[in-house]
Amino acid sequence: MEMSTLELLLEFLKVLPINIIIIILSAALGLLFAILLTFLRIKKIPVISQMADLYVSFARSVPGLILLFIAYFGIPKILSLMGFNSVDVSPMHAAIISMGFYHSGYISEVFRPAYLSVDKSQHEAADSLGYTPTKKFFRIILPQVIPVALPGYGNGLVYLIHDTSLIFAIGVIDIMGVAELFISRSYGTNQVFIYFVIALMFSAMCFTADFLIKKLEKKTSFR
Amino acid sequence: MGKRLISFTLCIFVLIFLVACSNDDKTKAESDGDKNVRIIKVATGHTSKPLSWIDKDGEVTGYEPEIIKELDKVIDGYKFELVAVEDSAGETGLATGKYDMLAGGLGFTEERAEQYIIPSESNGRALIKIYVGKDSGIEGIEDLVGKNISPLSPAGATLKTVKDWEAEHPEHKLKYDLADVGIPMADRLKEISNGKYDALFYPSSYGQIKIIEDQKLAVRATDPIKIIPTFFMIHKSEENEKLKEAIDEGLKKLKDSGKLSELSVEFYDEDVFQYDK
Amino acid sequence: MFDLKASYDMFLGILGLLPKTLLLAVTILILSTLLGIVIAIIQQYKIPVLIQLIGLFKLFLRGTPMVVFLYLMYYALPAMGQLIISLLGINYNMNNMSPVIILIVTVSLTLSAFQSEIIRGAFLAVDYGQIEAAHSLGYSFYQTFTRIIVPQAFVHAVPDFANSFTVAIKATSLGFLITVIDIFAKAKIMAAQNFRFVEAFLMVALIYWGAGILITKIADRYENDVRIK
Repeated sequence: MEMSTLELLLEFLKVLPINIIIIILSAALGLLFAILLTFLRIKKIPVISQMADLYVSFARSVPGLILLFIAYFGIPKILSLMGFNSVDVSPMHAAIISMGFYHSGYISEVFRPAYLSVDKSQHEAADSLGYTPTKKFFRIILPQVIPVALPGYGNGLVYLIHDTSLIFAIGVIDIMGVAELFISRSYGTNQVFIYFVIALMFSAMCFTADFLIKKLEKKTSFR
Repeated sequence: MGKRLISFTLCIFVLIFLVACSNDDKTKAESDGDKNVRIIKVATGHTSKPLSWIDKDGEVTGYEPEIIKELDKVIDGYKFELVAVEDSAGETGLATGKYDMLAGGLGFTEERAEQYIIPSESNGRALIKIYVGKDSGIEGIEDLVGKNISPLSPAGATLKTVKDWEAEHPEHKLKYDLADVGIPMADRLKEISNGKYDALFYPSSYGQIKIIEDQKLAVRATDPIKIIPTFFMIHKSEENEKLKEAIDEGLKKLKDSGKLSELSVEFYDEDVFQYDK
Repeated sequence: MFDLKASYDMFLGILGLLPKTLLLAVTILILSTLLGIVIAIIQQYKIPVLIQLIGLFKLFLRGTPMVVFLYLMYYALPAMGQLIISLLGINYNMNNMSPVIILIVTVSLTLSAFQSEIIRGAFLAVDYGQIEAAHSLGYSFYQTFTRIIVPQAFVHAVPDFANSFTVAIKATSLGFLITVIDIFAKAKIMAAQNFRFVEAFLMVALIYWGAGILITKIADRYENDVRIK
């Protein structure tokens, strides 16, 4: 048991970068799209705003596994029907695309209400002081939006971390994959133990994310 | 701030591109080899020991993957590449053409024949057995009326076998739930051993013999209630018709030479062909 | 490759389980929100001892993927239940604990850790000037909380609650591991019968999407009605 526990931990450390790469890239991609989506939904531009609505409800309500399958199996299929035959999507790409997609839908619904929570008088005050729209946004509005949005954003980030475990379904061995492989090699006799270790590993990752969010929160809050 | 946002965006796309390149290098190097050899992507399970799993060294192995490796030796013009994925991903990818072939111990059904090319030669036998307590005296399905049956998985032939039996024997009514695969075999057998359930229907290819021995469980298997020949499934396309013929030829050779029985004993601890008449 | 007739049958078959799925999700949302409010209040007012306990509780619940937690609860919950009722002197075999209950408890506990964060954020969104104004008008602490803070915080939390609701709907699909059948489970069962996985997954995605649109619409309407313009 001692020996295999050590082996398990070594395997976990070996594949940890895969989880981290997916988390960072899909979080960044998601953040970018979420900002765009929030902008579109707040501006209420006809048609485009409705499309953004549909995007958001699709991204956040369809299970991660199906999004992953659509990215991995669906995109090449659609491209080949359109005549691009040799395009293939790697599992890593499919993971980053589908999780970034989900993440953008989730957190845009955090940003939008956070933006709307800023008191209207603040907009008016900034306007009367002669601020340009950009200046108003970055100097007055954004500093008030961030602390309100951070707890919800932290939730989104933690869900994203959880979802990385899905990638094992299409054959990329991440930390969840290592756990499942160890379990299957022993026919599941050590599943409770390994699942405890996995719970600790994921808790550590989420703790790190929460810690960073808390730090940002302290930095940006006024109270 | 605006500039920072733009440079941030650029950074992400560069990074994603880099991840792309690091992945592509490998496949390109492989395909540069021999132009006359077609690479066949074979999807198989990654956590279904001993049917197919990934061993300590990261190698895909198991009864079905080892047959594929043997086929690689006896068939010319093809090179087989094993991809270990989840079962539902395997079936989805086979339908869309991401994978050319699926090795998952699957039986012949009309619905499958409609969607996939199925070789004429089978690669093994799925033996559906009932796992019961050692002293329970249960010998067949008919003894299970009123008993507590462990949840059945809808995937695979087990559920169909039970349903067919129920249709033939309407006077007997069985009570059971459906559940996803995921509770490991060792736990399911333990639930038989400790009496939570009276019986478990399962194909015998999940390492039951080893688990019962290692864990010293008071569980035994009945004789197979159903014997189902299993096949590789091939993605439906014109060029794959030739692949099917090659697979048929290769499997025939392996069966005649006794290689399939040998692999069966190695992975399942019994020759699955022994129940053939 | 794509079979329309099969897709249509599947769509109807899966749709039949939508009410059950939504009912499960609503139950989970209500339970987790109640628990989340308790957690948020403990954190907001820094109640000693409890706040340390809550910290650990949240760390574990937020960190552990729900599949893992469900598996652990599948064994732990009946055992814990057995311990409690045997202490109470009741003779009942907890091994027969309904999987629906195990699922609801597991997902509600996990979600409560997320709900507490949303509620905390919602409190932060209430303008501090309003609280001061209430105090200066002679409102008591309790009055300020129930009349000023909660109504405003709730408005802010609605879109986030909609997010949580979609999470709850998706989380019910884990229940199939322990025999609870929801829309995703139904899709898997139907796909296993005729091997049309592509169709099944697309149809269930459509249904999830439809539910998602409905939730977004309802939340938006509510928000528009109550948000002060």
